[in-house]
Order: sequence, then structure tokens, then C-alpha cells
Amino acid sequence: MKNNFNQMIGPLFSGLFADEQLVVNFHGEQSLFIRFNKSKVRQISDVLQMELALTLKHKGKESSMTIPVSNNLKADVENGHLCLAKLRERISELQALPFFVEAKNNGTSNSVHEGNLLSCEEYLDIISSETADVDMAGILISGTTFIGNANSKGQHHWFESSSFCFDYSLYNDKEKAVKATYSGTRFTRSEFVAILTDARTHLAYMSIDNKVLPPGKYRCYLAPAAVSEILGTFNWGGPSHSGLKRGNSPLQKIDDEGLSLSELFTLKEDFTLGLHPPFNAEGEVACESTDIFVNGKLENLLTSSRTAKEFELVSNFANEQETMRSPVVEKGKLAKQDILKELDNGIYISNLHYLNWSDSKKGRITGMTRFACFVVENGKISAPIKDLRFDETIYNIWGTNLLAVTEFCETEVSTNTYFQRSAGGNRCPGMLVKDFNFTL
Amino acid sequence: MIANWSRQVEQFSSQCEWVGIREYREVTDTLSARNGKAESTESKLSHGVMIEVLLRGQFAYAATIDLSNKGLEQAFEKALAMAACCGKHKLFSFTTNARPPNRGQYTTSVERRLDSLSFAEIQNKLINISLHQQTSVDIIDSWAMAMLVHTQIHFVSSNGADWQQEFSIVSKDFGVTARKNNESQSRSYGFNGLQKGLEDLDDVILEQEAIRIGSQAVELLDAAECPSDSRDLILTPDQLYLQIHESIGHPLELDRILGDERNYAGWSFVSPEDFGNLQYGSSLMNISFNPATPTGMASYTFDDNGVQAEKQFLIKDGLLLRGIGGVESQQRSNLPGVASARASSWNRPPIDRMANINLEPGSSTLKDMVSATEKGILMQTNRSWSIDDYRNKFQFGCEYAQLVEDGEIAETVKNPNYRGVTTAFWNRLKLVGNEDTAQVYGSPYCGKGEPNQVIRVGHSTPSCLFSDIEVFGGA
Ligand SMILES: [Zn+2]
Repeated sequence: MKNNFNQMIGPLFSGLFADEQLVVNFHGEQSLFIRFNKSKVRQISDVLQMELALTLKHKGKESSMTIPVSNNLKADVENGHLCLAKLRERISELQALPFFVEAKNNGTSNSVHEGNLLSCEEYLDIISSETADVDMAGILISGTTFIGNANSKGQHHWFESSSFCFDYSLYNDKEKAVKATYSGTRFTRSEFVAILTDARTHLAYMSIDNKVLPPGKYRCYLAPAAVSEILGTFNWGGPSHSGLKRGNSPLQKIDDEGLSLSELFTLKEDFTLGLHPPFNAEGEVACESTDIFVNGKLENLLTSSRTAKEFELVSNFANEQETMRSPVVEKGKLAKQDILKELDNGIYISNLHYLNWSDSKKGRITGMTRFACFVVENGKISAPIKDLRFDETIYNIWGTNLLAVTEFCETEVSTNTYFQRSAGGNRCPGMLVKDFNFTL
Repeated sequence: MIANWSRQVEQFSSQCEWVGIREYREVTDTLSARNGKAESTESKLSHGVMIEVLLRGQFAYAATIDLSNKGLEQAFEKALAMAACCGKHKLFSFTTNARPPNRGQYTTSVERRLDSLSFAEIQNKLINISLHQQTSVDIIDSWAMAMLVHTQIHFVSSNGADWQQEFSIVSKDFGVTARKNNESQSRSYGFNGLQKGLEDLDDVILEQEAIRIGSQAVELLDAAECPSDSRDLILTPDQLYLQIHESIGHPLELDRILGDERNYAGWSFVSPEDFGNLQYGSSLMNISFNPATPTGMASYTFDDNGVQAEKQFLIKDGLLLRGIGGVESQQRSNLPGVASARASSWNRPPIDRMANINLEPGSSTLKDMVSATEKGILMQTNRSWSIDDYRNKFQFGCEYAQLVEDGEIAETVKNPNYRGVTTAFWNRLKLVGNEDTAQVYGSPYCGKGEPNQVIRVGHSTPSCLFSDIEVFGGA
């Protein structure tokens, strides 16, 4: 697909008029999706897609248009020229943007992550034979994604990644479940079985009758997948500098009152994770690592060049939405084998579900427990819980009530496939918190 | 668009039991403005085909942007090979009766076509709204956006289906943030998308609404916090549509009940035995699947399996009758469903989706509902939503609320929220608003499915009164 991209952009750049700037963003994928229910195939699909987004800039004005790339170079280039002509006409009528960002040459990069992917038949043989005796639902995603960016100033970036992700859950006859994922660049039966066996072991605990807990405040262990969900909601407006300036930030209290979170809490954007390219849609390349919170103290917010212009700040080349593309929460000191002992009496939460800000300006998040969550009594798992709703602020979870952070982290690869398979992921430890507030 | 795919269908049909080609072309224009100035403008054209093959009882799907003969042949070969290797692993064996040979067409009726105004003219309307919203110096941010979508779908199959649908959709939203003494409050119109033309962007109406939004945000800065107690709750359509969506629409989806969504969107508290037996809500509750709702975002004639869609009651007088599931789910579950198998675009297979899921109007005026309330609260415009994976325990937040005391509207309160459990909540439905209180809301962001798909849904609902609901305020 790199050829499709390179061959198409050359003629477009040479077709520009004086003073015009063109930024192009390419996305392509070749993906296989196998959807399972009851360990059988519910749906199977394959997608070949490519698209090119053109942003034409001219004297303080700009407009964008995305077109499909069809694999036929002559037709695609013609289509690109038609698109440029339309953008030119549109721009001539539109008003200038108040915070216009000029195209610059932000350099070149080339990052290719190769994988050794199996065929649909090979995946099915392994997965079906290993899960035949259990009720499994989930999705296998396998293929290659391509992200390209270039502009008429000579900038050129390419990111290509071949990988698979098998995201599934196992069920017992009481409708209780355990979640597992297996992702990487080379699917092997032995690695898959190791993770599956672990999930089966957890499922065995789920056969004990549910314990119904009344709402209230509980001491809780949040496993890395649960922390990742909270981080995902925080990412929705939390790190954005523009959000703070526009009165829509959960960190407003920190800004107003000079608060800090817990010393145990350190969060950064870290592209060395390798799951997301460090360039944004303008082709600007962010630092390999940017501290957001260090030992509870807010160090940086994410600032796009556009926001920097509007509020007279320094850009750290964030994306337009000013979200973390590769967030990492630093590990702490709590050993894996001490988790239940330190939790003592409380709830072990493996996963959370459907989180949303319940009061975004005050940093309060609500959501549900999901999958394998247990009551722990005297340091021992006693029974699975009936799902509970929490409603709690990040100031409590990552501040006053944070007791310990695990000495290990887990990397979660994005399984988001809305519109297209997305790059990215995060790395989170588990957390022990007190007085976690359940309301329903 | 729109190609005649019958030759390819004929060419491929000898190698499988059935083949279908679904071509999908969609243009989305998104425009915005902020604080009286222009913001970004973008267009997106998405265009491709999905080739669908039935071989030995298994459907397989290959999507491609390469619309050349060679591109289509490659996609067909892929679909065929995938169907073949699923043979011994299939969940259910389908036949061609899951793909009826319907023919016909559907087109949104519009007064003003989406291309009847230039980008600059539409953007000027948005700039104008953002200026009208600035009713006070306390307003620190004022924004407006519009999204115009034009979709064309053409489906042709080897057993004779040949239908086309064309949709025109206009969505808009605008709002402000006001800030004073470390208190900030946001108020918005509430995102709404309708099958309409540009007649939906009426300057006179939009200016009035913009002034109301600006004034209410400022009013919220000095408002008291929403109380935390149990009281009667009146919800207007800009919140109630999402309550219907989350606590009726999703749990009634047959693919959730069948477990397809267990790993992602979730399961359902509704079980197959509940159809015909479960008293979902009070006797005032009537819920319909209505693909013919005027301006409804999800109005259509055919679902993406080619089944002709018609109005059906899902819940009648509070009793659960029918699920939201297309022909495949109906065959798998032996439960009654509706024509609701839909794909988000050319690159995804159809799954069970809501279309227009409506709460039928009753006979009360808004005044009747207020008068009938001794201690209550009226909440408007959704701001936060969350529900568990079985669709039981929900929590919603709204932007703006007014207390109701002794049958009268009293003071305005900020940060209103409420929570409850689905069937208990709907059984507390005490009064249903009449036609005059009803409005149609549409969202293009309903997400589910593996691989993920967002789909457009519509909900027409009147305002309603619920008795004795747990409400609470901000942090
Ligand atoms: Zn939804």
C-alpha cells in the first residue's frame, strides 16, 4: 500500500498552485475478522480498504476532503485532482481560520512492524479445537494496517503494522464470565493455550453462587484492565489543554486550587510502546515521552499547535483532540502474590464496563463492574459478586484513596475497529484503593 | 454510482448457493464554528462494495474498495474460501430464505437538497448561532456544528433481489460553556439528526434556540445543586430518547439475547421466555419499531438482508411481545423479530440494530404532568449515560433541571442525575405525554458489534412522568 500512497501523492503535490500547501493522510488495512459465539463461527469477514485525506491550505484558509483509493492508480490520481479542484473552489468562499496552522516540513520517518500471520483456516483449527469444551464468545482480528502522512513541504511519514488480536470471554452455565485477550505478531498454539488455561482457572471460581453486596464504600483491587477503562474515560477530555482553557476539564480543580493527586500516581504519554506512530495529522512528531502526572503533580497537558495559537501556549504536537495516543501508567511496589493479602477484605475487580463522566467538570466517573469480580475475605477469594455501579472521582481513585500500585503492568492493544482498525494501546498496573464508592 | 451488478452476480452464482453484492456510497460533510469565527470544514466520501456468499449454510463477507472486475473477483474468491473453511465450525446453517428477493426503492423526502447551499453559506449559519449564544460576558466558549450525510445503497443478489435506498440526513448541535467564580456549566441544544434536507437549518428557529441555550447556561451558574432524594421525575424527549435507547432498545436486540455480543456490548436481562410474558413497564407503555417514522434517522424500506421493514409493536400496554432482530436471529431463536439487520457501511456485515424505536404518545399535556406532581423534578437534555452489560442498572445525567413543587415549576437546579433499574423504572411510568409533547431524536453513534459498527438510530417520544425515582446532584 506504500506504493499506492507514494505514487498518488507525487502528482498531487506537483499539481499545486503557488502559495498552496497540501497535507495528506493515508489509512489502509487488510483485515480478517472472525466472530465467535458458543465457540463456533457466527460471522466471518475480510476487508480491503484504503483512503486518502487531503487538506488544502491557502493564505489562512483550509478545508479537508477524504476520498477512497481504489487500487487503480490512474483513476485514483484523477480523483485526487478532482478533489483538489473542489477544495480550491470551497476555500475561495470560506472565511479564514482564526488559528491557522501552516504546513511545515516535520521530517521523515518509516516504521514497519512485521508479523507472521496465520490463514483463516489455521486460526480456526487452533481456536476451535482448544475451545470446543467451553462456551466462548469473541473476535479474532488479524491483518495489516497502514498509516501514511506527507505534505507539500517534503515531510513524509509511514507506519505499517501486522498483528493479530484475539479478544474473547469464557462463560459458565450461570452466565458468569472471564475475559481474556491474546495479541501479538505471531499466533502460536502454546501461547494461546497458556492464556486460555489461566482464564479457565478463573472461570472455575465463578461457579460459586453470587454474593449480592449493598451499595457503599469498599476497599478494592482494580486489575490493570479495570485501570485501563478508567484511563480511557480520563483520556476523553482529561489531558486536553484546550479543554481546560474552554472550561470543560476534569482537572479544573487542580488548576484552580493547586491540588495534587497521590504520590503513587505517575502517567505519561510514551510512544516507545510502539503501538501508535508519534506523528499527528499535521505530520508533527511528538516527543518519545511526555510526562502528564509525576508523583501526583500535574506536569503537562497535551497541546496541539492549533490550541497553542489560540491560547498562546507551546505546542507539544498533540493530536487535534488532545488525547493520549500511547498512555502509560507507571508501576509501583505491590507484588502480584501480595494483592489478595493487601486487599484483605474487599472486592477484586478484573474489569469495568460502560464508563462515562457523571460530572466531567468535577472529575467524577460512573461505570459498572464486569466479568470476573470477587468478594475477598481475609485475603482469600470467597465468591463472585453481582455487578455493582460505581460513581467516584479521579481525585479519590488516583489521589486520596490510592493505597498501592502493582509492581507489574499489562499492555493492552487497542481492539477498536469502528470504521477502521485503529492503532494504539496502553500500559497499566493494577491499583489498590480504599473507599471506592458504589451507588447501585 | 450506482453500478448494475447483475452481470457479476450471474458470473459468481454458479460457484455457491447464493451471492449478493451491496454497493454503498456515502458523502459526509462536517462544518463547525466557534465564538463567531469559522472552524474546520471537511468532507468524506466512502465508497465500496460488500460481496456476500452463502456456501454450505455459512455466509461469508469480503469487502473491497477495488471496484474493477479483477477487484470484485478477488473479493468473491476470498469470501468463497472463507465460507468453505468455516464449514465444520459454523454456529448455524442458513439457507437462501434468509435473503428474500425483494425489489424496490426508498428515498428521503426533502424540501431543500443537501447541495442547495454552499459550505460558506452553511458555515455562516453556524457562525451566526455561535454569536447569538453569547448572551453574557460569563460565556467563555460558544460553538455550533452541522453534519450532512448523503447515502446511496444498491443491493443485488443471485435470487433476484434488486433494491436501492437513498438517505439525506442533517444533524446539528450547538452549545456554550459559562464560567464564574470557579463554577463552570455547559448547556447545549443536544445533538439531533433527522432525515431531512437543509430546511432543517432554519435561521429564525436556530437564533431563538441559541439565545435560550446561552441564557440557561448563565442561569445554571447561580443555581442550587440538584437535591439527593427520591421524587417524581418528568423527562423531556431530549433525555427520554436515550433512556429508551439504552434500557429498551439494546436489551431487546435478539443477537444480544443469543449471546453474540457477550464479549463486547453485553448480554441482556431479557430471556427468550420473557416474550409474551414480561410486564416490562406500566400499562401506559407502548413501544414500536417504526421504519416509517417521518424524519426518523433510521427510516427505510429494506434492511441490509433485503427484508421489507414495517411497523411492529415491541411492547404493548407494558407487555413485552417482540424483539429487535433480523431474519437470521429470528431463525436462530424462533422468536418474533423485525427487519433490523443493518450494516454500518460497505465494510461490515449486517447485525441486529435498532431502527426507529419509539414510545407512542399518550394523552397528557406537559401541564397535566406538572400539575400531577407534588414533589418532583423536570430534567432536560442528556449529558451523561451509563448502563450495565445486562441493561439493568443505569445512571443518567442531564444538563438542566427545574424542581416541581405542589403542581408548579419551581427553582432551576444544576448537575441533575437519576439512577434506577430498567423494568422497575418503566413500571413507574405514571403519565405519557400527548402528540404535542413528542419530538423525534436521532443519533449516528450507536455502537456495538465485533468488528465494531456505529449505526444511525431514531427515537420519537413524548415527555413522560415517572413516580418516585432516585435523583442526585454533582460531585
Ligand atoms: Zn446504542
